Amino acid sequence: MTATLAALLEEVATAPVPIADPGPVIDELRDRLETAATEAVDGLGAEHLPVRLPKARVAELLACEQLAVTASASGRSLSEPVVRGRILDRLLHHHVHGGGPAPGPALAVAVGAFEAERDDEVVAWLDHDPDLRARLAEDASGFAERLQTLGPIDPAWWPRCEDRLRVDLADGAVVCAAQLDLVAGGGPTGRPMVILEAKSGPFTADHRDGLFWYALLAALRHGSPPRGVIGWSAWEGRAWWQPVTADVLRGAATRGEEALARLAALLGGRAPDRTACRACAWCAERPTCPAARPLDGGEDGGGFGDGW
Amino acid sequence: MGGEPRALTLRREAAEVLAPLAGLTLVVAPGAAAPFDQLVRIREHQVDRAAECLASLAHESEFDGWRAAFARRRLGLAVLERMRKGASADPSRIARDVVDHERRTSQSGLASWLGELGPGGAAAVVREAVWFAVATRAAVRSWPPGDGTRFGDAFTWDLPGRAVRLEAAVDAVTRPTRSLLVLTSALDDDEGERRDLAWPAFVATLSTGQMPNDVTRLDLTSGDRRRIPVTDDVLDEGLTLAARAVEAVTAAWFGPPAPTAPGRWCERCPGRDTCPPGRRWLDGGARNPHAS
Repeated sequence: MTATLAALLEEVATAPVPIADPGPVIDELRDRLETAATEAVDGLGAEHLPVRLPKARVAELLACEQLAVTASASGRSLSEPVVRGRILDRLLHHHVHGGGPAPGPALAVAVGAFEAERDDEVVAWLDHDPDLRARLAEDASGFAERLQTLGPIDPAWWPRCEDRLRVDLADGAVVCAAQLDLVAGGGPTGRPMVILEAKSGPFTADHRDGLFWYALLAALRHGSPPRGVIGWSAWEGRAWWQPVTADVLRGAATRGEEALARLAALLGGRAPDRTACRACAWCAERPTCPAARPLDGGEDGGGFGDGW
Repeated sequence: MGGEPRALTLRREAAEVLAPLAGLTLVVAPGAAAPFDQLVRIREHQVDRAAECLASLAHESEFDGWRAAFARRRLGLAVLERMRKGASADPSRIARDVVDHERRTSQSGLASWLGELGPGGAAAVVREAVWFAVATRAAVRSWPPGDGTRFGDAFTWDLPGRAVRLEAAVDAVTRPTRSLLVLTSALDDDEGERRDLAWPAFVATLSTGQMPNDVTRLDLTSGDRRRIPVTDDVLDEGLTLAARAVEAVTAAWFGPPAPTAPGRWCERCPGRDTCPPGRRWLDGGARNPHAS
């Protein structure tokens, strides 16, 4: 659907409340995750703690355990899709917090933000290839135009970008942290909380699952679930929203439990399973992996939960 | 108030404990100010480093410049202070006004840096301040805060006779109830949390000559809340922290290399590239690949 942000928020705010009494649901889900986390770190030495479970690791563990192990060991390096996603994030931040349209090229706005963050790695990366920079400058201009189409947000929602939250499980031995693209409402605003995730590519099922994971963490952190989640693709200029129901939260918790169970097995020394998945296209293991899926199109070089 | 006697004796006690540990620092005549470039400043950062890895203090370098994350607390507290005084605009608008005011009216290094930012950089700074202010508003139990509250305060105490200054930044102080508020967004262990609580209580007592009643620590990311009454035990812990930090910083300035204690703090240590034990720890020798 193509809608303005103001209209989407209005729709979320006026829709029927999806969970009338969230307390028991949140207690149930916290208990389930606590149990899974406690089992995952049972017997693990203090020097290995805390174990971190960000959104991307949940997705990787469920897609292919070897992918999760490889990504954890090697870190996440910069790539065109990753940097494109970060550029979009900075343009969204300016859209929300900048106080009006920025003069000049959109890429310069994003680079200004990277410089203010002292993200020298991204700034240097952008400088190393003029053709790449030109492509990203074009993408940035498109994103900026589509942000204008998305429209402003009523300041009464107290919108804030990069909202951070953390849920500690098993006495802090497992840490689930998140940084949300945009949060509106909640807390002192008197309005329902809504989480928006912006993607620089098409919005996929992986992104939807990631957004539901955020909804679960927000529910556990604040003791009250977000009323709805919005996914917005800056590539297509389209958005969708979904109410956060008990089933949405339970589904996210089930994925979290499964990820923790697999993590427990890996921490216990079991060799990681290899499963063909979408990440085969860019996985470092691809040349030697017997399970790797044949390439059926261009390599998108992205990553689970990051950059798109 | 039963706290006053200890508050008054604490200054003498601190001087007796800390002066021998600061024996290599510059001697300062009574009533004279220490030259700033020779002043050993003991802040939360030094207290934490001394508790984690003594060797890391030798890698401390000059402040290498502002960035959005560093400005978060100072500007976020300014936003909260304006809200406390009745500003009714939304946090983004207030934060933009705070940035603009700092840029126009202050001679600070922060103001100079803010003046160099373009639209994207300014939005990044406003973003950080807004998150800090809104997260704080959501975390405190009542708004507006009690009369006599002020956001963004600091306490200092100079060790008599030596160029050593103890400093504690406190995010909010409610003076009538002598309550201190410490805001954090960093994951920490129990020992680190206790430091967060004891250090401001200790320095505030030295600075004002009065014991605070309580200190509350709010974790803005997890929502965890910890409140302690300030007792003699808390002040004793603060004095222990001060002694360890003064000794460690003095040794780092004037002494041979201290022993290393690798741990998760190596990730943010400026010496990580030149410290073999730290490098080994970071490269995974002691780490599980799923921990970070």
